[in-house]
Amino acid sequence: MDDDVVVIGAASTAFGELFDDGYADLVRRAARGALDDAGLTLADVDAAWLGAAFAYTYSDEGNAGTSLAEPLGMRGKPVTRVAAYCASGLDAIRQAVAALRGRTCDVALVVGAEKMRDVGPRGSLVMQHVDRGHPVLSKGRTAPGIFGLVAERYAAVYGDPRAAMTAVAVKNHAYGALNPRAHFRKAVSRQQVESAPLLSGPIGLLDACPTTDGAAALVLTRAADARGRRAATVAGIAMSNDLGYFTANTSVRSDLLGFDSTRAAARSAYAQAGVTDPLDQVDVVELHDCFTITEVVNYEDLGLCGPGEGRDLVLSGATGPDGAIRVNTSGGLKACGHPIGATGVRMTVDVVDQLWGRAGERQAPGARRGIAHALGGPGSLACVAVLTDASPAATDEPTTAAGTAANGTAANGTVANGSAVGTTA
Amino acid sequence: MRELGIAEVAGYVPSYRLDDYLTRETATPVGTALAGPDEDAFTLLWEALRSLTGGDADRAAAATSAGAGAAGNTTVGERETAGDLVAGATDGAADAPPLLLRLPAGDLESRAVVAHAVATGVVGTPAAVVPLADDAGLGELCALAARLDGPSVGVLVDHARPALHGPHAGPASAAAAAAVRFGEPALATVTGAASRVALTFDRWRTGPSGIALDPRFVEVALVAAEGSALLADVLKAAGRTTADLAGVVVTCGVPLRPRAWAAQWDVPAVWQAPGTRAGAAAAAALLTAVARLREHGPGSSVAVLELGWGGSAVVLTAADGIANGATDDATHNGGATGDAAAGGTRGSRVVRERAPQTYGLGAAGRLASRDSTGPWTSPAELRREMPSLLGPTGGRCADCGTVAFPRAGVCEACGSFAVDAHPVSRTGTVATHSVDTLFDAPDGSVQMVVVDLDGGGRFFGQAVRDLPRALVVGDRVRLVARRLHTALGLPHYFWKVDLDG
Repeated sequence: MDDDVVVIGAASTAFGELFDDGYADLVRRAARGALDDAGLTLADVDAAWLGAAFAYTYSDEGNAGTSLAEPLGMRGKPVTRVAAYCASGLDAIRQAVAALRGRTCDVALVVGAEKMRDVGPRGSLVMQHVDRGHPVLSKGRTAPGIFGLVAERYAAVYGDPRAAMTAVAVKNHAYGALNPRAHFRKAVSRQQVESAPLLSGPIGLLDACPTTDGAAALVLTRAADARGRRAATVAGIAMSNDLGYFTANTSVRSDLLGFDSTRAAARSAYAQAGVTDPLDQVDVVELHDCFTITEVVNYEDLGLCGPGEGRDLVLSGATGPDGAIRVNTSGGLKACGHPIGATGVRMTVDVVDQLWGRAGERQAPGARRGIAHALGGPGSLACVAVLTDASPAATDEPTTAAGTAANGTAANGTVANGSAVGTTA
Repeated sequence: MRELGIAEVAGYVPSYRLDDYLTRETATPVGTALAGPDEDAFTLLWEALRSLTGGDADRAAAATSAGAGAAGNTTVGERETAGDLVAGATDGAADAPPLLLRLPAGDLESRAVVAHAVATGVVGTPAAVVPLADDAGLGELCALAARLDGPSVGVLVDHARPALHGPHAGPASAAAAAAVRFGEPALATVTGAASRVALTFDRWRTGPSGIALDPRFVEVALVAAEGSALLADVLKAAGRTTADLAGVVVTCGVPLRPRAWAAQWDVPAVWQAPGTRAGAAAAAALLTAVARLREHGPGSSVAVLELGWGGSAVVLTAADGIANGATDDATHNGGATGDAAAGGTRGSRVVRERAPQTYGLGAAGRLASRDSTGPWTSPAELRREMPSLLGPTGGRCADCGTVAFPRAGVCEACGSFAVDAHPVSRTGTVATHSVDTLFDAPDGSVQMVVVDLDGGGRFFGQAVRDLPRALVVGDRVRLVARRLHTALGLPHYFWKVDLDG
């Protein structure tokens, strides 16, 4: 439909410890990459959204849309900062989609960015639970601890998830090894995963994603304005708030086996997109694997399998390279890393790359529909997006974008997802 | 001094000990009981108070009863029932006897300690709070209580952390707390009290780490001179002679030769409270005396001498009720719930019997540096929220009955805004847990626990540090008040999860 919102440009910086880049460098590079990918310039953009979760981890940059407007020289236009914990990026996309559907703008730029490594992991997220937050309710809580609670409950109700958690880590690192944008480009063995130091409960070091620097960007418009262009339709996108940040673990509604926020967001997004059986109807999924147990319960919450069946799903290989539904072909948060505000946008970039056939060695053949899912806070909220390929014709042999070097690094500094960058724009 | 009745004594002896190396290096008596890393003078006091009649056990029963009721609009006060110590009002009106309080020197103000005790429901709002100096002991406590017109409650807390290195190195002092309900002489009678003063400062006994004295000097100069005189004084005050005594309990900061002193004083026995090597040890002395009275039965008398430079003393005489339905320092963990609902006199009890946890060198070193001001906190938020969090007071939906903790302004089950304050139970079942090695705690890993509370509501917080094993899903647990951390120099207390029984 003409009022459908479509992605026409997608790009991401490499993720990692980017000590030579500041926040402004990252958002500028990602935005320029997406605009180049769309064949547009900044002058074509009416409004922008910046997903940034924890601005205070890095010099307060990301606190407002100014942190995107200033590096781009984007004066006189609305730029809005969106913060929704780890779902900040996806929620920024959701708000851009709403604005396009509401015709308050015609071309929207969405950037997600986070600069986390300058202060180190203990100085950023872990220490925030010690130094900041509620005087008593948050003391003792860490990100691995939140999901360790889920893993222990899962073990008590459904059985030990260890083997499944290991399978997630091995799978996602294997994908990450093939992804030039990933923070960790190294495969890991089952033995390495299971002998890693424990962080919380059964969650070990190799069950956890890293904190990371990075940025990703999308250019969106309405389908009517994208005729003839390569495009991916945002067929459904929804957000659900469910739990408090400090009180998430005291909710009597929570079964501690997954997250109602994901379940509700998925129901809504699927209804918009006409998805009734995601395992059958979806080709690729980028989901929130902040910890390996999270991927297991996300399978269940997203309806890829029934309650308690997440273990078997990953162990069967169904979500792996030869599976029916390929999950986290980017390497996920686990290998790409998790620059919080960037993650949801990065996921969408990776889904779009799959739909446009430019995922290189990780390409899912014939991918036409994908899901991006981000979980925020201790399950407090979630966003789910369903994207479908809306290009005039699927490109079997994509052409290489102008300015893309042989190593996959474009002139604008973004990194192509695979060995080739397709464009039909 | 008129005779002073003791209706009840409750005590708490924590289960931490020094490991073998530290015991040797610091010349600390083997088995000296030490507060755990999340225990301090307040939490020791809290554990002792909750075992008194009308304390925690009665309160828990009342809370469960309230939680089972169908009606909403339950107020905090309504759950508080039996017992003359228990809060019955939320308006701050005094409804409990005066509280005489001896805390060790440290970072806790008496009024704040009492406020926390009231907020957590182990004591009602006292008619008065009378802080005693940190070098006061059982003698001063009894002398003061005897001059009050009505019943009172006294609390003695002995508490010092192991101080091991640097200029403050020294032996660890025993930690214990004793709560005494003065009034009806159901358990014992204080038949006499006496004190002696000396023209010096008693820093070696009351200082934070203790300064080791030559045991020979203590025995010859202090025990022989001051102790003998004090014993004579207190016996005279009590109208007793040594022939009336079953024995003498002595604290003097060094190990005594009990047989030699029994012979010297012509009494059947001399006892020392375990581990009372340094620091004020009035609580340990009282608990030891009560245990000896129980052994010797109704009518027996024990003198208690607390010696330093000078000292104080009392003579306690066992009443008929001392043998009734009570436990003694054979101790039990969580046994305070046993006969609590029955109310009345239960004699004495000392909670805790648990395989000792040990401080190793690393943990002790970290604890020694615990005096920093810590991270930022919000005093405004503490003032606003802690009364409810420490209640623990949750909310109950007037429309659907769903109970939640902490209290929220909206029911998470049905969305109603008609949510009333509701006491939540402090017992429940572990729903899940996770041992977290990342959280920056001063003493190692923290086990975080989600508890489904009896009667509704869910709690999330840390497990106590001295658990004999990690908690697992399905464990029956109870919430106990512990020190979480220090921020802006302010102690922060919250509930922690302990095995129930």
